[in-house]
Amino acid sequence: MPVNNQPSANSKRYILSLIRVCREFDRARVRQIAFRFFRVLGLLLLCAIITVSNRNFIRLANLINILRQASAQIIISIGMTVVLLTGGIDLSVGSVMTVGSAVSGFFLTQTGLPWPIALLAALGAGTALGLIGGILVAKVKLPPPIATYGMLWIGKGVSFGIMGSTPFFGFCNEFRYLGKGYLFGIPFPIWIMAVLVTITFLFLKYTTMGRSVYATGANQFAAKASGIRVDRVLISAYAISGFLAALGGVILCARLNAVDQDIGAPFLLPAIAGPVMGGTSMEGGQGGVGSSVIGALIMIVLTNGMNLLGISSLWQQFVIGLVVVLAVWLDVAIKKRS
Amino acid sequence: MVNRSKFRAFFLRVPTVAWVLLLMIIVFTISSPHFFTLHNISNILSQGSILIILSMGVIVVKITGGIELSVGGVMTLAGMSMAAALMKFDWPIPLCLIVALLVGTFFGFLNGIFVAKMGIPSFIATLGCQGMAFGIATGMNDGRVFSGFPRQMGYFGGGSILSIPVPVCLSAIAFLSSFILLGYTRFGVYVYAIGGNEESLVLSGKAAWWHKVKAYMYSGFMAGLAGIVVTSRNMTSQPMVGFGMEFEAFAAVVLGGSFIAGRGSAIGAIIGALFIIVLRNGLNVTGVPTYLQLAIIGPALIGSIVLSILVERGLRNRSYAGK
Amino acid sequence: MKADRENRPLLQLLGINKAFPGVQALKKVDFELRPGEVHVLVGENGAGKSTLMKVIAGAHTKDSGRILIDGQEQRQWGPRVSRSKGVAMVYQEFTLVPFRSVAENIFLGREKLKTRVFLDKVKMYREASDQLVSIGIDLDVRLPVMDLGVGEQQMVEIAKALALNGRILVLDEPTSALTVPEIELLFQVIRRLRSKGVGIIYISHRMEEIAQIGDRVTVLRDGEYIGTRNVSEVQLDQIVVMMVGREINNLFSRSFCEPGDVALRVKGLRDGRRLKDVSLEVRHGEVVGLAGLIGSGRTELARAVFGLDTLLSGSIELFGKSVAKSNPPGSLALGVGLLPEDRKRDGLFPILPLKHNVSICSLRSMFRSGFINPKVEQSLAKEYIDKLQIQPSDIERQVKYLSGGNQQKVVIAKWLAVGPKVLIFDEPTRGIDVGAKTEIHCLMNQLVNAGHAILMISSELPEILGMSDRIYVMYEGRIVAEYPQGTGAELIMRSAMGFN
Repeated sequence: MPVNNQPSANSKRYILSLIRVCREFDRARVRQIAFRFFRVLGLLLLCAIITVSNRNFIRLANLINILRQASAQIIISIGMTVVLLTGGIDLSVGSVMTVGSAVSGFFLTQTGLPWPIALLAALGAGTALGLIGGILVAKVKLPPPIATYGMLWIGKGVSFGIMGSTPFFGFCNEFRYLGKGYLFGIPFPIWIMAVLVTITFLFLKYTTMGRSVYATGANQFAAKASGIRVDRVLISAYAISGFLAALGGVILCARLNAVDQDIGAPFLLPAIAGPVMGGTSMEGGQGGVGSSVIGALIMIVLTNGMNLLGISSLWQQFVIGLVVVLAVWLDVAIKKRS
Repeated sequence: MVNRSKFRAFFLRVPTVAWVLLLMIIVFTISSPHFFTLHNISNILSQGSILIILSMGVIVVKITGGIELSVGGVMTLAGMSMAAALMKFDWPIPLCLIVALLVGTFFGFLNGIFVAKMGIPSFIATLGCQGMAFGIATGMNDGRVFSGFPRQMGYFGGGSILSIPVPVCLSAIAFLSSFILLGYTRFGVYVYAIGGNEESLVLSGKAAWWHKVKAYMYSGFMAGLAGIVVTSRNMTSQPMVGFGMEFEAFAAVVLGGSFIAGRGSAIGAIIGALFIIVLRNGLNVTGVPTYLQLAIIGPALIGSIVLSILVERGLRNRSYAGK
Repeated sequence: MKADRENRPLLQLLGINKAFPGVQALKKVDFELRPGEVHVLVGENGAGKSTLMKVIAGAHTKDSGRILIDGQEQRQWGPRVSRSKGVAMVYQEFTLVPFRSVAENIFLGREKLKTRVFLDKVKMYREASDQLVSIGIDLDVRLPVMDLGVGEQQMVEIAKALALNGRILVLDEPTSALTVPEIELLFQVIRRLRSKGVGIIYISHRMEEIAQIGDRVTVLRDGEYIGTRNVSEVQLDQIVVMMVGREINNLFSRSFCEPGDVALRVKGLRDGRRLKDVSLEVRHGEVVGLAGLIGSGRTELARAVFGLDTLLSGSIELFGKSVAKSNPPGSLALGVGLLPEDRKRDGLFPILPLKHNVSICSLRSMFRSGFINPKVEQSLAKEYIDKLQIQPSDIERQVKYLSGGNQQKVVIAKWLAVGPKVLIFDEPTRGIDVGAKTEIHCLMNQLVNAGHAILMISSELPEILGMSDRIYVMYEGRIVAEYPQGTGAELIMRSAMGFN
């Protein structure tokens, strides 16, 4: 009996079939899943590290608090996600947030109108600014960074004009509920955020309009040649971003009970870094709400962690700037390799 | 076969905004006898020197096709670093000046590496750098300002040479520097080549990426210089002093005719800067409150930019064949 | 001795082979260029002309064969080497810096300096001017390039290419963007260069130019070297025969049937760009072939009919009803589909999975409520994968990983899924292997037999001849001929070149 040969022949056959299986396994899909996995892992790792240095982090009250504070940021990130998916970017989100706050502050304190009017006015203003940005991109064909950078400054102009030299404060209670209230024990902003995340997720994944967004970002030319109304998609995307940014601004000023001129500015860079880190590529057509939320959570946990570790908020701006650059670099590098 | 009418060639060369600037100057001169006096002009130019200096750096980057949004933060950080060297480490003034210029150039280098080597889109790279710069500036002194500089420090912001204010002289030097750099050096040719047709440079065997980095370093240097002037003029160094300057510098450059990559000039940029300066001055003089100014200038500039882009697109015909 | 040296070829290519994945672009090609000659290179689209030029320029490495310069075999060959040996390529895409002067462009990368820092503009102007004058061009070298006309810019490109010791000038379709007076100027320059001993390789589709400027002409066909003739000793017709003469194997499985009513009719289309006056019609049940050279306007026609580009005048009628203003969503709804020439750019979404690519046009009609049912989408994708035999059959796979043939099948699936009655195929089998080609042709046959109407644009004459019920030929934005099935290749090629 050729005892020597048999085991090695068997194992050779086994190895060969294993190799065949591995080769057939779609490398691209493995990569996709791996990246998603690593991001979630990264988030959990970050939470673990912070918990090690400060046990208070993991307490439910703290987590809910973080989420509540982060709700405005996440809502803006949703809008940014939609724009990123079309292959563009919205640099005006921080400024439109300020506009949302300013407009609602104005209506609440300077006019006798009921608070729903203030809310509607704020959302309307944000949507209008988004629409203009979308038109600049889709019809005037300005590059998105330039068009939205312009809208950033128009937004600043609008909020400066509304607020004048004095900030607004002291809003009515019903309005403040939007930012500070609770529903079934969970802060209201978190409800808003959850609802919006769900709606947008379903919209992007399961509606024909949502699919057009992905198609436009994946290949604008092919989208046009496939009968998609690319102009409408673009304009809508920026309008949605404007709407959500204004909503974020409303929640923010409702919680703070005041508005001042720079209230939205710090929200821009994290709104870019979050989704991009989470996997919504600046190229367009890839990623989605799920990825963006994971990335946004990473940013939020990072910020909260820095707070808990005693890193002054003054240096946090530096860290965020650095993270933005690194996140985009990662995105670019990954895309280049495939 | 250059059958282009001289008229149109002239119009294409001169940015639209130059005409508006001329108009503004005329209107202001008519409505106020004090406007066109040496004193007032030197005053206006002195206040606007920061913008001019910044624009002279940004134009070089813009011609390579990059969007430079970091100069506000870099200028601020340069000023803060200089102040820190002066007040915390007691270094002699000349050394502090060098610190400012080095900080500016270093951030320019970072920007250049991000864009040219790492492939990050320029607007993100510079936005991120601006965030970092503002962050360091705010953090380095716990958000407080530096003040109490020795009297000589005020020379760069308030002194004068032959009765011309030093800031004006510095902005003139900055202008000349960019003008000569862009028009009369090899590097200038390469800057336009990168913007206009990067392939052409690669085909000629030159390392395009390194020249791109140098362009950003130059812009950073100018931001450092601007930081010196602003700190010297205010005799304090605040962590938010440069906020918004990157937008005005960007607007100045675009209004001056540099929207498409590979196009633009130092002369155009300075005209654009002057337009903004005169506009601000006009708003000041007519008593518009500061916050309203800010509300007007932003949209006004965007509007002018969009307008000049559309005009340029309309005037341009098949002037450059290619792909 | 002198005659010997004069006739020794500047450049010789012997037995050059070059293959790309899936296609053998050059098969044992020989080529020879003598000093002081204008050697024209002709061939159909895809014959291998550009590949050969890129090999000469060093941009592509040959798989095998020999390259000789002045009789000396070159062991090393690449872009730098070729330039140092005097090869000067002028591509169709310009490599000039628009905002800078002519002189600065000519000296790009080799600027003349004074004090090692500043440009010595005086010196550069003078030398650039001299160089231009020596080839017979009179230009103000101080002008920025963007102020020049296209013809003048091309002169600058030529001067720039030759400036570095250029002895072998390669011009790739130089006259495609020029006006008649500019072409005349170009020819003057070429003659001047020729008299100075420069060898010029001239690629062109325009047959009249062969006679005007050429000394010798070489014909390539399907990557093979067919022959070289002296221009003075050969007739145009003979050249055409060399270009197209081949055995038309009956690889094409067309079963011709009686066509029905007119499905698509266009009259007098003009777009102010390439299309001057186009009228044609396509009936149900027939494949109408549209032949023509590159630049004749066929793709522009397809895009204009579908609505991707604008029209200035003319009418489009679909199924007897006039269409006011054509646009892609409208065309889709009316039942017209366009399979674009550039399938990667206009037809596919490379990073999206197969199932999304297949369903993208049908979403609105499949899901009236606006909500996508993933299972329905998946079964649609699976259905077409089976029908068209798309490999690999993973519906989740991003289509960028598919081969060219399978990618084209995905585009076809996309349109079949939405079911248009009129299909415009623009270069349906370009870059696709023979097996997939046959499958696609079979499919087209099935479609027309089921009553569809197909307009097929193709640069492959065998395909046109084998698949079409009728053949239109376009030349310079107009339909210049209509031929029935069974017409010979030479006739079609002649019409495509503007004769008859």
